[in-house]
Amino acid sequence: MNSVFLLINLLPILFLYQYSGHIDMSLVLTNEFTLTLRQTPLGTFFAYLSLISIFLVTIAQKTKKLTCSYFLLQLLLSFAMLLIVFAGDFITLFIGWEIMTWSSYFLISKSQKADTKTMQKYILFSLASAFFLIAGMVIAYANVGSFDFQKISNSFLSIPFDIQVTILVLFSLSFFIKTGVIGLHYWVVDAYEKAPDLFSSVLSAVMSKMGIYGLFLIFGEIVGYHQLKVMFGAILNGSSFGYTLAVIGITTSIIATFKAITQDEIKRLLAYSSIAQLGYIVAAIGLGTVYGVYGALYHTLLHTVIKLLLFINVAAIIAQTGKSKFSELGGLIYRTPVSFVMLLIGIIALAGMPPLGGFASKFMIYNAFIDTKFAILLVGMLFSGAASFLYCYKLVYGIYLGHPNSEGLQDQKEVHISYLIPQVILAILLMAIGTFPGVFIQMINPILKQFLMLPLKVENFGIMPSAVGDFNGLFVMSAFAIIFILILLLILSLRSKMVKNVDRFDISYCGEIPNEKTPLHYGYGMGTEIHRIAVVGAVLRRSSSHFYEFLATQTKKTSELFSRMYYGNIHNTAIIILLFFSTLFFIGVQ
Amino acid sequence: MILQLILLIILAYAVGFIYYGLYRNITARIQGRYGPTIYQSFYDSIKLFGKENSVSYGWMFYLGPIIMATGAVLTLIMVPLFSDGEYLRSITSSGNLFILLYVMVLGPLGNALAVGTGGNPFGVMGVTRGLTRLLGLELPFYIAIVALIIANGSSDIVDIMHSQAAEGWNVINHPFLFIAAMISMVGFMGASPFDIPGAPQEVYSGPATEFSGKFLALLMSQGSIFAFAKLVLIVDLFLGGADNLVILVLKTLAIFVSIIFIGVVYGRYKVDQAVDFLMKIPTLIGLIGLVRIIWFG
Repeated sequence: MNSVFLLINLLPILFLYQYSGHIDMSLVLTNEFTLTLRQTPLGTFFAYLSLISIFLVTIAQKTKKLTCSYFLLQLLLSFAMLLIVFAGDFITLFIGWEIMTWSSYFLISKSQKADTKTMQKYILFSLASAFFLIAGMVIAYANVGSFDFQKISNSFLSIPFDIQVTILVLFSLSFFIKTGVIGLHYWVVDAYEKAPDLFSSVLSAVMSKMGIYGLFLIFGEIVGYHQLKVMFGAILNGSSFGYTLAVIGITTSIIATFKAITQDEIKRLLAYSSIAQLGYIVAAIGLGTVYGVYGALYHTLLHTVIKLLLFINVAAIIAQTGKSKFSELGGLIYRTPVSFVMLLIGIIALAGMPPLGGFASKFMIYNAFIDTKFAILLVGMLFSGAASFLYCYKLVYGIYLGHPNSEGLQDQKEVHISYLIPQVILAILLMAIGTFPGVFIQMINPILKQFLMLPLKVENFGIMPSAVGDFNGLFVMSAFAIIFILILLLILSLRSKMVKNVDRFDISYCGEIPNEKTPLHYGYGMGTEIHRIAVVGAVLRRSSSHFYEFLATQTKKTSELFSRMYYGNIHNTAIIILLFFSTLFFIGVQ
Repeated sequence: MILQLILLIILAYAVGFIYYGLYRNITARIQGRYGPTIYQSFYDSIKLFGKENSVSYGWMFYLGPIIMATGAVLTLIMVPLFSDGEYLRSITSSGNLFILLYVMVLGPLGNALAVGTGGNPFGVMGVTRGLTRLLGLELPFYIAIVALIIANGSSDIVDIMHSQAAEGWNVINHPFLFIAAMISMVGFMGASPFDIPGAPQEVYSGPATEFSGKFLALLMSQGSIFAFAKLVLIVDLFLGGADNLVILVLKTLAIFVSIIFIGVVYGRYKVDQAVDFLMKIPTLIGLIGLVRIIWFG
């Protein structure tokens, strides 16, 4: 059954061999409502991402005994995402958005860990996102008279300024909820943690990217990057609207990074890291320069690859050991060596280290910041990147290094091969991107043309061009490899006495001999130090949950107030309602 | 080309060890001791390369020091030694400051994996404190680097050196940035008050705890190569670079000795105190410099 779904999933790729203009159909409902599908380079880029990601996840799902309904829902989800990225008008987009919400809702509920609170949060926030979307599109319709992207785009400048801002804010809010901008991320962490382990990878790698697609659709296609500066005025070398977006993105990434460091649950750490990485993308979208768009799209691609790799890896470990906390795992490196190497490649890329792919996209975003002269935000981004080393190290140490922290970890075996196949493919991809960072620029160039920008010319795939100095991926990778091999040979050639592996308790430990009961694993304690740093601690103590709990209690009180109106007698209630509406009517008439 | 690179590494190794010897000697004199000879660390490292390796925790444990040494050598060949000249040229055309920022932490992270494999909680504590310290340490340094890139319109170090030849040293033009970067550099060089990650008393020398024999020797050697590379970086960015070896040694020595004096005077901060301090005062000083560049040219 698995393989059948695998094939069905890949079928649409057959129709996507061209980059644009291949899909073009419309269904006329009335004179005013037309459902249109059209293919743009931007949509095709995201379609490729989602189809290939779901394909790779399906390979890993071979180990799980999943029901037919699960696969059908997953298929419905990828259909919904295709509908979103190929939609030519807001009605189609909205239909896709709703199908995506509901199919993912049922998929998350398939997990045994999913509790009512998580599900309620998920559906409430998804509905809020849908309502913001519908509010935005209705206001746009009232002013333009059409739902079609092209028509709205053509007459967007003629709309009054305050309505323009309202529309943009509403759409941004809707898409921010999907990407999980800080403050609106309340549902993300719980949903990622409680979802089925392999489905978390789809949530993080693919579904959050629909929010990114939406932001690109609004700012790149409907408003147009060249008009943002005209409409909102400039700050330094960028637009003021872009500055706002960049501030939101960088704040998100810094706060989410701090939060990620302090997590004990593996998938919560990954969820916060996902929020942080999407923060970079949101910031880059706002910058609106050529490098900004490149950086955002490139980072979208890389984040998809990295998060797929990491979530599949973690899902395999959770399935193998049954443990999902750093404080319960540890010391798996020589039990599951292949998984260890895969996770290592993943975190090196996540931290944005030069020999692997993660650096290439961040480098683009840095350049965009230099272009627009948003220097303080660039420092913020670099700082958030430096802080992410801490959670990257926690990820690899807590699971694979140190000492086993619960029973039975010592005699684990390597995880199932179908978990490893997608990981190996993704890891090779990451290394290839790191060595030849210029390759994917070709893939992004048509999108730049769509946004009426000048594409970058790439002569050498090893070099990523930039205004302030190129990044030569091929050189860094090969220099690293050559120096590494030379030093390795130097060390091997020195003949000195070597010992066999010693027992794990044979360590310097203040003159004492540790035993099984000594707490030697530092997995839980790692990162808790940052609570004591005054500035960081103050950030960590704040939480958006206070606000939402306040909102929930207030809503409850209001509904209690309304329920008091009904005290057993239907006639009285009817009279009250009648009086209320008649008062409204008279006020309206006057 | 290859010969020059090897010469470069040998030079950095020798100069780095002499500096380390000087550090031990000067510290001792300030504390009223005689201290070891200047060449003592050099002898130690040569001796350790032939010594027996006493413990092992598998292949990852061995790879750590090698990755760390790779990171140090990679940093060295990316930092240009002289602004012009044929000899001892580094590969600068492919390197720029953004890459350098990451290459500089590549080694320590590789070693962190080996420390984790070793399973000594003190080692891991040292690594974690080091990474936490990085939160504070990088912030002023990043501000200085970003400001210099924007001021020069290029992230190539050679360009920054050349512009200083025309307009005067950055230490005079941008004193706030220099102070911010210098305070960070004190931490990067592992001097007090920011030396908690490898503290001998608190965490058993931290990351180096379990290593012995030629791997400890490798860690020591890369340490001196790396220290030299970092000093050259500061000289390139703020003191106008150097045209020949004598000037380079003089300038790096000036920076190094001032770092020693700071280190000797101060006690050791706890990691949270260190980050708190670094996030406030040097960051503020750096921000003044940055704002000066962006808004006032």
